[in-house]
Amino acid sequence: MKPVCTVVVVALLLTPSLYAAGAVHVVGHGIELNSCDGGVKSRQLCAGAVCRTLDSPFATLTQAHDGMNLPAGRWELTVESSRCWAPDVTVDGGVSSTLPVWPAAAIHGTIDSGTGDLSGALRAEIRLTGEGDEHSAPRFSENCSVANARWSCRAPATSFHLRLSVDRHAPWYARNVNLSADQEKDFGAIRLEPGASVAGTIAMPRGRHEETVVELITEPASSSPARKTSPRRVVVKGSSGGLFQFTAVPKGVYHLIVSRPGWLPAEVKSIRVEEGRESFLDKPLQLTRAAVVDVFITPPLSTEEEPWHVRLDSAADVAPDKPVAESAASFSGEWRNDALHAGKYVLSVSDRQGNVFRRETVEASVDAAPQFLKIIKVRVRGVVKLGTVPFESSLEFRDDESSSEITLKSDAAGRFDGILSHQGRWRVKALDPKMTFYVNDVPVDVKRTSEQAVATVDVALPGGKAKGRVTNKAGEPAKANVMVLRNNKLIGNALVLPDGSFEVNGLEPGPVSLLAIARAAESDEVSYLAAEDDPAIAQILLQEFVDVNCQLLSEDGAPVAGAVVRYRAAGARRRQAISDPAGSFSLQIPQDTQSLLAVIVAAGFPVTLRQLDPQSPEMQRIILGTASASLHIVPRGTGWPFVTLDGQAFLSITSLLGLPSPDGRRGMVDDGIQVPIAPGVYTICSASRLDGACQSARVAAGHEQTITMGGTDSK
Amino acid sequence: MKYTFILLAALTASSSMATTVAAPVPASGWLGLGYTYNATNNPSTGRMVWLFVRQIAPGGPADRAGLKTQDVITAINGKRIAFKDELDTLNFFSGIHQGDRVQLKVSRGKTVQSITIVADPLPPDMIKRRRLNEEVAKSQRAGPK
Repeated sequence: MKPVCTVVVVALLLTPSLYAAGAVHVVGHGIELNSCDGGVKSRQLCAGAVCRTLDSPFATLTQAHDGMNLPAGRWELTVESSRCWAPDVTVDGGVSSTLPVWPAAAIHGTIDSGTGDLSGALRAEIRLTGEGDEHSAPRFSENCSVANARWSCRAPATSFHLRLSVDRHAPWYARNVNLSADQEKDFGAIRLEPGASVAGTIAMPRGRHEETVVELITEPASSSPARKTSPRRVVVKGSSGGLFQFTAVPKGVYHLIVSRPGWLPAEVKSIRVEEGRESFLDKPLQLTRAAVVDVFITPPLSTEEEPWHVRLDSAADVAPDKPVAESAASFSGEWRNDALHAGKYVLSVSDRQGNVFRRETVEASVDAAPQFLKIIKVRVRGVVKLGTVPFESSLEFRDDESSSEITLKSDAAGRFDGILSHQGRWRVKALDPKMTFYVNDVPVDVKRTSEQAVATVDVALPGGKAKGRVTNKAGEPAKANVMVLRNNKLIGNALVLPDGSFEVNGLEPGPVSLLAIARAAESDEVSYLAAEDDPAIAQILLQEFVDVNCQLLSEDGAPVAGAVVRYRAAGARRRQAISDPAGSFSLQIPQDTQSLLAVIVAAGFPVTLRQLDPQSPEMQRIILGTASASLHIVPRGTGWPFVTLDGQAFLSITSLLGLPSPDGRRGMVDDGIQVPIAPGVYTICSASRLDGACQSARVAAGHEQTITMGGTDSK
Repeated sequence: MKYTFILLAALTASSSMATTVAAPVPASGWLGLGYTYNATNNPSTGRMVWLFVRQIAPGGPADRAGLKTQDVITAINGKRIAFKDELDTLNFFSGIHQGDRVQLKVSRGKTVQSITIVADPLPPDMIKRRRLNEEVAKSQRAGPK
């Protein structure tokens, strides 16, 4: 029967237009109106006083299907009936409204002696249950009587949440009260704690509620007297219907955390508590089931016969600074975390030294099954040599999938002995013991036959060297790092010593580029020939950066903001600037730069390439035109081709791409890139541009130009 | 130095909760965009603080409102941006609640427009990122150790 009533109530509240416009419709819930004694007393309010009274007995209301028609004005309606109950309401005469009526019931109890002096009026707030969510459920107030430490109130015979309150005290709550007609429910002794309070509800998951804990913490930034209070905890019980309450809370600003095993904590910050008042978090706090990652590592112990160390990083973070979780696995090899947000993570298994033996992407989900990670320990032994000379070094082994990173050390005789996580291809970075240089990416194959317990791995570093001296413009030794590049790939690096010298050993003999980099200074890329015997001494000039100031304007003189400006001074590295709201940006380039190329990618404009004056101290104004063509570049071989305007400064064609948009578009197509570009003549060179494989094409407005490395098409 | 922040909203409850029939506690808000904080000095305009939009969460509030990557935000809710640093900026966005309307003055290329974003509830997986962003911003304010 009750659900039917519920539906009726909602319908009545939401659809007053079913009834005569402008009338007050008296609607019985679980009762026929003609069984109510008494009636509705309507008092018209004029300038704050009662100026007119109308009595409407229930007997007449049952015959008046159009409801009570009240003249215009504000009216207070009160039901005077011993058998029926309705909330006191105020309505506007002439406006449709509803007065719900229930059978009457009563609630009462005693007031605990600890409550103190109740100088204010006790009020009952009745919030109907089963009427949608708690927040939107209808609620009514009823004044209660208090005498000789006893209280009593009239109430509707229905289901509701009850809140009893009096000024400057924490309210008292009863959840899911269910009364039948004429019932008198005794709540026993209740206690209304003096002072401020914090209360709210939790949308309780199924199961044992006793495990749900709510903690109230003073916010660290708060300068209130509440600063010194220690955190307070309450356990939310199932019988409370998810309600929690903190009483006698000092004035201040608080942070509330709800936790429950197997669920992610919910929190609310900046709850302001005023003296003697309640802060009620009216919207139920939602808990989310925690996801789980559970792995079993085989073998269970690391090479040091200790439990593995497991680290979990969010797969969404490109370069996570801090792990999501990090701890030791058990001695049986199990590692489990059951307090995660669902999603993908990168799980790393390492030993005490930090060597990563396995890195896997794992999925955390609520019902995640255990995953089994097998680590194959491969004992390796070998010698590392620089040319023919044993090399004492630190060897960083990485595999192609970046799933392992293991460091082994060789002694003065170049001998090393250790354990890798699998056989196959590895790449080794070899650092000299003084950490003054390293060589990168030396390929090594690890293979063990079935008869072998140990794989023999000899690391043969080529005998080529690069050496030189780095100075500043005054000819003084300069602090810097020297990068050794081959085909734009970093193959080695050296630290410049205090006398300005540097040396990198272990290079494959042949042409390389050397580039010195320091804070706010950089050299040109210097061509160099790495050699085994008597390599030349490279002289590298470290040049301090200077600023080249520019402003982007449209053809009608408006500043162009938010343009991505990728630029490269001849011989220097690619950098990027963004134009500010005034269209201005600064490029940092080495002092004696001779050629400077900039690619400008701005919203509403085709991609624009400009040769800028690297020596000009003046603001260089760049006018962006709207005439557009389409440039389609199809690379061949490995690596992206380069674009240049003068054959001196080059930028990768990926510089022509915009930032990724939510739809993923930025100019990449299946066979290369295709971008709108300002008309002009562009020269595209192969990735290894030193071989001179360049081709130029004029791109005309409104046309599409396809440049296939090795051939050109125009449409 | 510039840092990229994913705009996350705070877990901040309303400070104006009433005593008896309280307004619902708004959930933390999320705008769904990543930005870099920039402060530049320009001879003609003086010091300008602006946010450069680097990322837009697909289907997120910023995306739905029409914000785009490379947009430059110069004013929020009618006031020129005056955040003193990244942390200050993060603190502002942390105070946004679900349903809050945030009006942005946006320069896009040569055009200037107003875009209003209505904050979604903060996705659970953003809470951790927000804390990380705050830590980075705090360390940036503290300077190198």
